[in-house]
Amino acid sequence: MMREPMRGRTAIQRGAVFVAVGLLLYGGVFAASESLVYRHALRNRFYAVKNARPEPYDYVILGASHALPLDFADTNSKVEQATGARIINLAMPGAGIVPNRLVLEYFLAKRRTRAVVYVLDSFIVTSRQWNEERLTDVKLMHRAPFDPALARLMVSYALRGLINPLVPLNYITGLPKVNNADRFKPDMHEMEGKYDRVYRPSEREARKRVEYLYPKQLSEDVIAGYIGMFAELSSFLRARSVPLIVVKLPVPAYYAALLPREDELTRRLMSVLDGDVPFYDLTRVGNDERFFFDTDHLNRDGVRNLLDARLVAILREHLAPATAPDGP
Amino acid sequence: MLLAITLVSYLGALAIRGWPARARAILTAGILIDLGALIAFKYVNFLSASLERWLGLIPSAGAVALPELNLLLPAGLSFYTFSAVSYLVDVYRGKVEPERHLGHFALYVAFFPKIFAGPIERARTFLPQLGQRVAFPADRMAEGLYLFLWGLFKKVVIADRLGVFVDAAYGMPAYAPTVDLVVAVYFYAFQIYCDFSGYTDMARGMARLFGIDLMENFKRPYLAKSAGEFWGQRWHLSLATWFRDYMYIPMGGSRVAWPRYYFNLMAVFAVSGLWHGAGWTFVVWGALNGLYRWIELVTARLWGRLGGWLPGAKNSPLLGAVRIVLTFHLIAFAWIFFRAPSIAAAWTVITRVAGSLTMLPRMFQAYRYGPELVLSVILIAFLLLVEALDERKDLWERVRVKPTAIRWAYAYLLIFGLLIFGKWGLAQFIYMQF
Repeated sequence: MMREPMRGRTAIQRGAVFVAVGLLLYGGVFAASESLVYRHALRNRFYAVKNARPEPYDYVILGASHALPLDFADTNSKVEQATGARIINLAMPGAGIVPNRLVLEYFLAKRRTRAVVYVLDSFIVTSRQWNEERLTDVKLMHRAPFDPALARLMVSYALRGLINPLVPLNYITGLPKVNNADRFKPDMHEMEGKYDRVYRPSEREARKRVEYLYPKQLSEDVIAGYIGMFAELSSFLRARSVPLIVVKLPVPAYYAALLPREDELTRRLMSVLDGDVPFYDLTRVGNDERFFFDTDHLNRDGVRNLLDARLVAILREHLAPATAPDGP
Repeated sequence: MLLAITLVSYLGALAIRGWPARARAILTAGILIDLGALIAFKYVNFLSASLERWLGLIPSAGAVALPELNLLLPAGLSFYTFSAVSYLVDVYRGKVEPERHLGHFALYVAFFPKIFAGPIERARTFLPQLGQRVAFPADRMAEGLYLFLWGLFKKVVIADRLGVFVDAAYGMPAYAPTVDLVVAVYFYAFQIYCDFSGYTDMARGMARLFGIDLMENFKRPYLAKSAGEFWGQRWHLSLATWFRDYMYIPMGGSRVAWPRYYFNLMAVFAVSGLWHGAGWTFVVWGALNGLYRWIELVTARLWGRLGGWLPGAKNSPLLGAVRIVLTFHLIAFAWIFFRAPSIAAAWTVITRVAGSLTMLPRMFQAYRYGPELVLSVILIAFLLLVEALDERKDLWERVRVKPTAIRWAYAYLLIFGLLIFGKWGLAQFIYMQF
């Protein structure tokens, strides 16, 4: 039996009903994906903020992938035990100043911290890829639970041109969660599976890694812009009376030698901060090659060694004045 | 390049009709220019590298360095040059009138849904549609959208998912576990089908939204019962019929002495292989399929006799199923050469799988089946189910007469399949490389 051909208006009405039913169904899928986030999320930084304990933290750790091992396995709780501090690690792989600022603002809108530790890498000032464009990587949004406060923050960032408009669009529609192929897998970065490995150094691999992180041509304008943003981040924290501590973590000597303009960029980054921002260059502290699970990330022994050698002491030192009993 | 080929073919066709006495010379010139561009962009480096290698085998020749043309291959060149050539030949043969409207002709060559990967349309079916007043009945629009959705589903949900396994195994076949290689061989057969037919369905669906019908390029190819049926009636029909009409039949086709007939067949398959890519793997792939056709022709009389002795068996569904499975395996085997980066790599895949044939059942038992692999197998089963239903009665014909709820359910299934399981932003279409 042939159907009657539809007239224009009927077709539009039916189209509208089709879209409305589709949106309803999408709502169901969105809700199911959201519930999976709460079941499997673990390391996602937006999830960590939304589900952070209400008591104030002593340290928020920001940075890129070099800061991640401080949160692998049970490392964070061990650092907390060793220092007596409450720590939340919000570093994200490949995250430059913009994504770190976003997650920090989100955190400070909900919780408090006594200090921020920024694990610094020079590549973060060299490209939009690690800043405005970084959050377009849907992997970072796979387990980000929906929160109107975060949605508003992302929209305001997009309106100011600080992030790609796709980021709030992805976040609000929940597409990265709906389309997450790893929806039933534990929420861990692939690097965490290598945490106990010892890497056999390869200069070729190190060179490839550096080529991946740094653009072929470093643009002065771009660098100056991000250095300015780093200064703004410091001012933002100072205005909230949150001290900033800057740390550079160890990397193997052969890897460090390949980094373009490393000392100069570090010097320029630190020069725009106030004189009272403590800076600890631990690049060469325990940077023996056996302490890395790949070209430049600390393995479990490397982290343990770093903690024993300096980091625990640094964290204790900056914790001490504020925890001293009040009054005589 | 697109503009040059369009103008050459447009003016060439008008000249063929304007100067009948010089028609053959004009046709030859037009074909040489069109195909010359294709050869220059796609095959010069391959030919010079092959020549260098062959000359290197002659001790007295010494080291030879032939010139190379490092040109960027324009996207879709293989497809639109073939469309242009078919138009010139059809005008010469009097099968189609030369198009006087340059805009219409340019649209024939470069109609955007088909420009990158076909179908290789014929002017006699495409051009008459351009002059007509187009109506947009909702049913036709819906059909176009369904076709587009189904094509996108095949590409993004099935092909790109299978591609992850295929790329991993073919990346380093010498080190990949044998089971992964077997999985990759099977998956590639479905990946390339879903990738290419997905593109075609999307192109056809999109064209339908503009009121234009493009030809059907695939007709459930893995349900073919012989290699002849696969190539002649089911796979990449616009290319297969192009080679039939513009190469095989002009060479004499099957109406020649049997050695020439066999040669014609093999020549068409080898050239068709080369059309896909400038590499020996593609030539071997084409020749292998030609060999299948030879074997079918040689044994045709034997099968005919057997059918006469066992008339019941000839039409038995079991025998039909066996033939489908056998044909699929032959085709899948040939795809190894198509996918492998080199003949040596293809050989590695074949020898490693063949060397472990007896151990494969145990290997498959011990294999760790991840959720992605299981999902891939389910999707292949779903595809085959749809194809089997489609074989009996066109799927759209089934769907369009169903109540709205069922038609919408089908559409939502595809849309939400895309949203939930799609592999977005991963890979270009395989056939766009050609």
